[in-house]
Amino acid sequence: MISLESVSKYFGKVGNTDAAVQDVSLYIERGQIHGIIGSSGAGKSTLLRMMNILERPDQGVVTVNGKRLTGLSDHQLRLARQQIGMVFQQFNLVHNRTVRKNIEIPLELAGVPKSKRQQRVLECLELVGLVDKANDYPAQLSGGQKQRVGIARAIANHPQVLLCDEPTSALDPKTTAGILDVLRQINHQWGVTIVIVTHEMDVVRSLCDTVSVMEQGRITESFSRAQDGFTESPAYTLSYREQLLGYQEGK
Amino acid sequence: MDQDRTFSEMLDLYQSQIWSAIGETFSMVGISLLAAILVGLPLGTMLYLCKKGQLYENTYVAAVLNTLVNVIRSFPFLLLVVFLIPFTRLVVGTAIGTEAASVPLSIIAIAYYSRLVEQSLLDVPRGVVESAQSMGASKWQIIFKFLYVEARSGLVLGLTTSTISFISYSTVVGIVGGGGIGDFAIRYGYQRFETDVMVYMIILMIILVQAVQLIGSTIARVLDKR
Repeated sequence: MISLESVSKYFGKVGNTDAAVQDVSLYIERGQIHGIIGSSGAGKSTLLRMMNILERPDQGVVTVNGKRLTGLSDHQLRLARQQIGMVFQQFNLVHNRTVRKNIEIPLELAGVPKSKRQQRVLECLELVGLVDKANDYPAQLSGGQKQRVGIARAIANHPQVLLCDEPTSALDPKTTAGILDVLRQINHQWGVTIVIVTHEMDVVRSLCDTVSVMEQGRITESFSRAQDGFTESPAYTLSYREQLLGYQEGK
Repeated sequence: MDQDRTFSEMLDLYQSQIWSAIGETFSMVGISLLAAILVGLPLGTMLYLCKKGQLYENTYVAAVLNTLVNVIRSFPFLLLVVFLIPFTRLVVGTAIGTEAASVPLSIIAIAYYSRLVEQSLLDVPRGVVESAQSMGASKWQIIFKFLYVEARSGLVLGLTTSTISFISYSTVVGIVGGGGIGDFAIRYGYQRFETDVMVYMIILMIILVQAVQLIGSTIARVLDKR
């Protein structure tokens, strides 16, 4: 569904050694929830933003849903982006538009007729549980509610892929759980492939099928959820793998 | 001059001139406002969009527009009026009168408002533009469906501030026979020592400015849902 072939992004000059993302290859299958975890500055957001060319890679090939995004014209790229939803840490809602009107934006951009837009907006509002807030402005909502609007907006135009950039990092743990439930439901109900960037271990533990660990611009390891899920481990001195799959002595 | 007359006697005497002065002020300020909206808004948007890191990043265009706006705004307005006389003659066929005075007023209006537009747009969070791009919005859609929507109260407040400045600038154009409230106050109130005329015209200006500010602030408040 999503494939990155040795993509790199440099700060400043090409070939600069402290690149944001260095020669990363990654393949994510259709219908998966893939987590990208790592500490601040590891390049995980940059990597995510290359999946819809918000950051254009300096090298490498990005293919999403069979389209080679790195080779598209501006116009084709815009059309491709309409099939890729994105959710942001800071929500990035249009504050002068109501909740309903925010969710309607991607449909407007895609040229969906007005009568169909209304119906789709209602479906999305139902999914995120905000039908009663349809005519409120974002400023009247809590953080968790704003992110629900962000998610509803991102999926309004039936995207096949949903990119989430630290979607719960501005929220408290209880609100986070609610948001993760919504994401899980989108994945199960509509088969949307989800990529989620986070530094929160619990997000990966409760949501992801597969995980990539990023350090200093590279993916250092990738692995799948074990049969019985990820293990609990509060010990942050362990590696990400050990925290998620369990610490095995002598390994 | 006869300074023992009452206020109402003065008003009777000058009624028609006062009305035409008010008409001239409204006409000059109205034309400037139109110029600010029709040319200043797009120009300010260009100033913003051509900046480094923005949608139409173009350092050359940005530098040219920036310098142009700065140069116009550097002129003391009185000098700009005089300096532009040949240009004014080219545009409206004469350098004298209310219509002619509207030319330098429009030029300064465009430069002035474009700066305020640029500032309002800079206040729109970067993330809003990014989310627009992620949704596949075209540049025009980003401008009209995102930037202007988020910046709209700032754009209105900027236009309000501009209008008040235009009213103030319009008092200077007596030098090219532009007329208007300010010019009438200077010619009759000051130069002919008719203090009551001056006081009356100043009160009129105060009321006008208060009204403009009140209307502008109210519209901006209603539009602002942030």
